[in-house]
Amino acid sequence: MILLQIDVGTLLIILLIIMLIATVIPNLLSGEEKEKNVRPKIFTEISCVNNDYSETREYVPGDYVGKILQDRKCPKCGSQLYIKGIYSVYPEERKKESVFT
Amino acid sequence: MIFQMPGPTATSDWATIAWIIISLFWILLLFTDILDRSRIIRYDRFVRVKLMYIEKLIKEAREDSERFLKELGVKDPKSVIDGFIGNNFVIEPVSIEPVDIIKRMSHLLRTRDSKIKAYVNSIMPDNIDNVKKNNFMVLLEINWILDFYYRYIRHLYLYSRKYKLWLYLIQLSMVLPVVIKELEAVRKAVEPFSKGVPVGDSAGPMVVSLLAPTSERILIEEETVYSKIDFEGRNLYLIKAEGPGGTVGRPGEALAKLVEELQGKVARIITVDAALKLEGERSGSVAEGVGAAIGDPGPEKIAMERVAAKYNIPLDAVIIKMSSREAITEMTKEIYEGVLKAAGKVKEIIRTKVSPGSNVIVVGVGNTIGVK
Repeated sequence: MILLQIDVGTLLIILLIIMLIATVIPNLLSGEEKEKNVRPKIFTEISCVNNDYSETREYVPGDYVGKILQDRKCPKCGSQLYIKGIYSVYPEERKKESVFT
Repeated sequence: MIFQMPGPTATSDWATIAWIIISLFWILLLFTDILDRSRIIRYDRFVRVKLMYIEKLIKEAREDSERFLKELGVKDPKSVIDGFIGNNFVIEPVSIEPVDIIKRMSHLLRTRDSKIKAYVNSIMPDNIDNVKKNNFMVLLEINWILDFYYRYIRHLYLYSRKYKLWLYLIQLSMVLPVVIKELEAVRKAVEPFSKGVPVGDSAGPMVVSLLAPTSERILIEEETVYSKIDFEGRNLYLIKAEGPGGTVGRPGEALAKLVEELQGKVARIITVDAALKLEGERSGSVAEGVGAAIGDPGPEKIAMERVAAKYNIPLDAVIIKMSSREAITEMTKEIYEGVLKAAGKVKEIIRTKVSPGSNVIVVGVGNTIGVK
């Protein structure tokens, strides 16, 4: 058994230091989560006007929904291709949400 | 380990000093306002840090907007943005006398819109198309929002300091985290609007675009178009803002005009819009209800309700749910999937509630950025 002799003054000082640490550290650590500048990847969905073909590629400046692609035809039926939708996808870690969402 | 406490006789000088310090500490805490002041210093510092953060958001948004203007050939983009930010406000119409308030409000909003358009036309080179001009108008609004919030928060902060209104300061620090989140979303909206990428709020126009992707768009009101297609024997009229530039058009007035042109012979009106979800709800979920789905200050919404009531036309609402942040940033895949579901829902309503041979109008409400 180890016996540690300690006087009241030292004990009070130790208690003061512990209280100070217990008060300050949570305050320092509870800083708000900073907004990370995560940029999404943007994709363009292309579809045939007859709805028998679709493909997805990365967004190219100048794309807009409803744009008819003049330089390409549907590989299945030869009809016009148009941009059906444009959407963004964020990296996986951003999607981690609580069970309530 | 056992602490062996020495007896009272062993009390050292240190113990006495520590005891005096603690006693003084308690006296200060109990009989002075030192504790309150220390807290106020913390709130004060918090607000100051947040104000500096908003300044950073403003700076980033300004840099991106100025770059966009430079690419379009505008020589002094800084003064262009300053000129707008310093001269953009609308005084609300008198509401104590509500007679014709909608007409007055509509007049003020139109005056404001035309003033912004005239300003943008005056600074843009002639060869710039309307799509880019519309996108830039939204960018100006984004810069104005950030600047206005900054000035208003700074006003509250300085006012509370000046008159020692500590409760103001505390309340400000309580609401600031939420305001900051909204402003971060506003700052992030610069990118899609400078690139021309659809945002969450484009969900309504995108549903209309999906229903008639290649149909001719006919101008019916300022910056508002309609298409007419045959949908399984029904005459389907589709109204949306004129894209792919960033504008919301005048869907209410366009609807009223179209219904009058059809002499009220419309079996059903379906409005489709993005709607704010409640916390915990899934983004992109679709719901069907009744009424005019449009988040407008008044004139457009009331135009829809009035014309539907005048001719006793059932007014349906289909909404795609999303957060306020998602509404103004690039459309996510979840919301895009919601758009596809909403288009399916509109088709289902038409099939089940509109008989063949009838006229039905679908209004896609929202900003049509990136959607023709």
